[in-house]
Amino acid sequence: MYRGVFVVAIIYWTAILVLFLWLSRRLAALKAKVMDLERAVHEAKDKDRDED
Amino acid sequence: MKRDIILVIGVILSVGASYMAYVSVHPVRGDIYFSYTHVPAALVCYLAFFISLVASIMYLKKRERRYDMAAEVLVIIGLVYGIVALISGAIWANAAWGLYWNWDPKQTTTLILWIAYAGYIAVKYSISEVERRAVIGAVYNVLAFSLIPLTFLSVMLWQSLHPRAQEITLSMPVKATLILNLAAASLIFAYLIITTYSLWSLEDRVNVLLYRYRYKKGGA
Repeated sequence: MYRGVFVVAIIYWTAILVLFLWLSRRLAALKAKVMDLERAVHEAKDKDRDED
Repeated sequence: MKRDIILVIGVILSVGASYMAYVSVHPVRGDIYFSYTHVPAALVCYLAFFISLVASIMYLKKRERRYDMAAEVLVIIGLVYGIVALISGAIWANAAWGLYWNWDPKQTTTLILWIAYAGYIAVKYSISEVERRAVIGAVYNVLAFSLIPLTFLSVMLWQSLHPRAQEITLSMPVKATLILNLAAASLIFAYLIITTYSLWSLEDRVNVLLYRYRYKKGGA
């Protein structure tokens, strides 16, 4: 039975850890992508202004 | 920053709760140890589905995208906690009743509930039109939530080995340990929700920016 308790605790913490790692990785990747895109949009805006 | 504080407090509480659960408190019945992970996982799962229902109702009322995103995030997290509750429940059932799965009403209705919510995600990801997907998802979510009272009432409606909440008597140290485990699980759940919601909002922003950028490039 104590092996079962151990297995359950491992499953619980593994599930949370996997969620945490998945979210952290996706969040970091997205933040970088948002910054790149915002920069691109601003550059496009500046270009339009220069052309005007 | 706020969510980091929540995570730090959650982890500290978890360490304390684990110490109390497995080291300092010795229950009369050995299988009580299972409750320290099974009960918080199950309650957090129900809590996630309940808040998701509120978010879906808010979406149907106000038609604001953030409510739809919140509902989706909560269902995903609820599903993760739900599968942990189901597996830990099955392992506990094997220790207490001698079988992992014996189609007990509580086990069966919880599995049906989990499948129904997995269906919510499947339905949402099968519709490409944003507005339609949100509306159908919200309506589906309201319908799926109607299964939660059934899982609670299943132990009263049918013969079940699963104990009813009012039948459970715990000693004070075990109760305190369980409450601490619940508090720790709730804080980590709060952290996961805030982080996932930030992620979904960022993805939304990325999609809008990508659309604007491509439209601009295409138009130029």
